[in-house]
Amino acid sequence: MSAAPIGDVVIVGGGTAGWMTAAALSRLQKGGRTRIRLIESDDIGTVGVGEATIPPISQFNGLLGIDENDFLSKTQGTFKLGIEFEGWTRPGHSYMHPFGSYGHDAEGIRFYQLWLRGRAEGRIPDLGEFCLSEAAAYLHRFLPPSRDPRDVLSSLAYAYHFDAGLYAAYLRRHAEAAGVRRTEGKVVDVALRGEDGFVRSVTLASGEVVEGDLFVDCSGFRGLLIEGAMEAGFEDWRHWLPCDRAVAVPSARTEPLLPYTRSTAREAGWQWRIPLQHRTGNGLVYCSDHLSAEDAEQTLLANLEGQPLGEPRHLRFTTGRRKEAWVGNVVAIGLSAGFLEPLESTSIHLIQSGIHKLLALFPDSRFAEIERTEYNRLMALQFEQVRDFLILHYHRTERDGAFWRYLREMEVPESLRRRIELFASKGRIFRHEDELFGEDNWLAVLWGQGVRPEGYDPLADTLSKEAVGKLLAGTHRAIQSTAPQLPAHAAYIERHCAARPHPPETSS
Amino acid sequence: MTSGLRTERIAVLGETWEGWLCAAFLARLLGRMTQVVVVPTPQDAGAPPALASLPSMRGLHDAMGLDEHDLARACEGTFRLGTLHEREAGRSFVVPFGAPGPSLEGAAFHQHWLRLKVQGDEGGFEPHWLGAVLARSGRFLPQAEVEGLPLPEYGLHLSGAAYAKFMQRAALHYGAKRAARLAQALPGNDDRIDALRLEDGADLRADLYLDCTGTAPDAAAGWHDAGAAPALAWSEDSTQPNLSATRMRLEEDAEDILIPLAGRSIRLRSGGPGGEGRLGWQARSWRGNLVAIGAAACRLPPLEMPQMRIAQIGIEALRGLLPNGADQRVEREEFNRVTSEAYARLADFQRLHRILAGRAAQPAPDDPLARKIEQFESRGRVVTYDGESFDQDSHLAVMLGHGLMPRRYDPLTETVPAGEARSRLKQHRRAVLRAAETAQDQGEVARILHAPRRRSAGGGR
Ligand SMILES: Cc1cc2nc3c(=O)[nH]c(=O)nc-3n(C[C@H](O)[C@H](O)[C@H](O)COP(=O)(O)OP(=O)(O)OC[C@H]3O[C@@H](n4cnc5c(N)ncnc54)[C@H](O)[C@@H]3O)c2cc1C
Repeated sequence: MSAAPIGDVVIVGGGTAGWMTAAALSRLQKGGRTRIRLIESDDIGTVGVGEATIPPISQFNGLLGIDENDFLSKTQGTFKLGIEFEGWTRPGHSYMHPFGSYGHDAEGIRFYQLWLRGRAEGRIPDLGEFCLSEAAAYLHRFLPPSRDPRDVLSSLAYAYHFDAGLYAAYLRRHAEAAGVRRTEGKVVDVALRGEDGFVRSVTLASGEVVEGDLFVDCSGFRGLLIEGAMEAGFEDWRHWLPCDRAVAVPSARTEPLLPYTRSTAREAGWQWRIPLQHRTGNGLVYCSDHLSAEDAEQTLLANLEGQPLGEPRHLRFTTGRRKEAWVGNVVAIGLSAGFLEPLESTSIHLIQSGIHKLLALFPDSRFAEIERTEYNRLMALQFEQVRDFLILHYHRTERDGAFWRYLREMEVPESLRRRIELFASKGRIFRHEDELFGEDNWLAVLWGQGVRPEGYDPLADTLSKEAVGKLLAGTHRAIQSTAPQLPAHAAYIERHCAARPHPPETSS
Repeated sequence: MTSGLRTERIAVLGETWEGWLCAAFLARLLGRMTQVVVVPTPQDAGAPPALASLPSMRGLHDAMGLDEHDLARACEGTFRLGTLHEREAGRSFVVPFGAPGPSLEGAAFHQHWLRLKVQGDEGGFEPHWLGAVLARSGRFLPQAEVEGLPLPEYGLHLSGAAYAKFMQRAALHYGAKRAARLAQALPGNDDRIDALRLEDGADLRADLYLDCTGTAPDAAAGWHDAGAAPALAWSEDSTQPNLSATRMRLEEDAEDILIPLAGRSIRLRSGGPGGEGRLGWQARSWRGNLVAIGAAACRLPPLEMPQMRIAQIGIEALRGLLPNGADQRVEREEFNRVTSEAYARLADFQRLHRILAGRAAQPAPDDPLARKIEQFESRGRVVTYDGESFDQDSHLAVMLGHGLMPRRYDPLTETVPAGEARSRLKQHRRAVLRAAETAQDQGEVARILHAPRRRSAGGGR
């Protein structure tokens, strides 16, 4: 005998997390027994940032049946082939963390092992020149990958940049069309059920009481339900990732239109640059122990490429995760579940992954403990894996100054220590099951941050020197001759997904 | 950066099937640069009369340039589509390889069946699974087009002695050498072997030593003990019920296994006292410069025939972590971490069978198996971890097979109207039936495969 299905799902919050959740859960309504309702307050804005993504976002859009060109034209979107890290390893240095793969394996031996061998034996081009996404990025070119695995173009991978407000509005239209009901109003009170401490209802400023069976807390950093009502607790990771503030400002679009995000290391943090069709998003993420808000704002404004468009906005955050993202009948998704700084643009992915897991473990009216604990376990794991990847960027640096010295010298999590050691020995990288970042991602950042293996996998020596030389040269030629033939990023957008001249006002 | 391979010689201790397998693999892999020497030892275990592989073993055979049809031909082989588990009262279930069907609307294939089942109007799951239908009916479908169905995967049933001989030939062909018998291993510093003294008086030095003797040092430090080993009784049997499945029966305190080879079957009864040594595995199967692979590293009961898989785990881990020269610390640590994890998962899979059959204690709450069982019972979610030998589909087959019926199903299935789901499953079953009808009887396949061959210009099959 099955328990009754969930009747009313109430989503509190209409930022990126709220609308992504609403759009994805809307399909549950097809069963005819579940209703989805979203509450958002016009008084309380959304965080308004969060404009760069990673490749799995296309799966989310695919699940929703979203057409890429339509979506990009309505969110001022652009393509993203990777992230350029400027000055992270040391001042003056820069590297790209491209999406997509490096070369291709031969005889079951990883391409990067062959490259390491080639490098040990003579002068060969830099690693990045063997990655089509990187080559195209630096030439400001773009074309979606081919599906034919024999074509070099199949090695390309990409994500998007978009306007956060327009993205939420886009998903809102999608969700409302699928029958999600939206209510404007500020939640002023939360009522708990006496028998089990579950949330019974939320009360809006208008006096309206909204009851529900399942509440999804998408209320942002404040965690209105998960912390405010359920007191889930927070695991603070500032000792590994000490940045706790940001200041953001848009600026005028500049040419050429870059198909990648740029992250520039600064004295006590780093600055992002996200190119959109109508403007560039900028922000400085920093640590308040080392930099004042005024100095941060000045640093940001002094380092813009185009005219600032508007006043800088200041944000505060604490890096870490909610100890339990699901308590009782409240599931936190988005900033309410935890925060990892946007260095690798992972927050929106963590929203997507939270939604995906909620769907996979969707409760019924009995709220089995086992679904809740499983959800919490999986989300904790996901947060920790991303956390390790971020720490790597900060930890392996030669930069000077108190902020960077602390990061270089701190003790890192055991899981990360082991990874660095394996790479430092023979350039070996192993991916864990379910892990978001794969071998090529780790390779880009380990190598980019200056970790140099002492040797390489001895298996690479099983190919003859000539064979390795030929393979490297052939791959290099294929990539370097293909990249310049791709259309310019701006031209591709113009042809396929240009935004209408007057973008509608964003909803926040 | 250091370059160039500095592993000049690898010594494989043990002229066993595992020893020759390792030697063949490494000689083929490292061919030009590293000498591979097999050293017989007094402890060498004999080859078991029969072996069985999982589909994943094909990757290893491929890497050695060995075609599994040739292997089957040389080793009295048959194609193994799964395991047929016989239970009491004439009931049985199949654990096939490969997936049953594609996911639909974001929910796994079996969830759609489960939904209708929970709602009370659906038959068993097996008719939806081509691999299971083929395994039960003794058929084989090597590579046909099967409209929209996942292609069934297969392993092999092999004669152990013939496999050992085959691997010996392959190893020698790829340049491995056989040395005189071991008299004594000469210890060096830090757990390391300095050299092997051979019976002909020579000393053999290598950069790396593999223990493939097939005998595990009982209760050595770091031994993860899993109880006394059961007695094993092998016999030959002329019954050949079904060439496509290993037949397995869990009895009160024994396992009765029938492995079909071409032309005869091998029966293995495992259970009762009188077994040799202990079951379990080495948490550190790589110590110093000696790496234990196969039964020297891990010994488990014969349920689901894990022997080849155990050897495969060690070989694949070593392949990913080949050391270079004397400093092997990083490789050793990682090897020990991944292999002991893999052995534990394999042992868990066997334990899962026993728990569900009511022959082992329920797992404690913090046991990784508890999560697998709870998650499945609750909503039919199949959970696996890093280092699994058997994938989610195999877990699904085992849990459903033992009658563990989830209480609920994935609500995403409800986005498909029930009528449509019912008709899609019906279509799927029909497709399975049609595909099974086009499949060959494996008796026929074996007859052709093992027919005495006349040399033809083209050779091969
Ligand atoms: C500096 C910075 C840069 C970032 N960059 C990136 C990036 O590049 N890529 C990326 O993936 N992510 C990035 N993120 C994260 C990303 O912005 C968020 O993950 C994403 O916007 C989701 O936010 P949210 O919807 O959880 O919260 P919010 O946007 O804060 O939305 C909260 C919602 O809750 C509602 N609400 C709150 N309280 C009440 C109440 N009492 N009653 C009714 N409604 C209420 C509000 O009205 C609002 O609709 C960045 C974050 C920061 C801080």
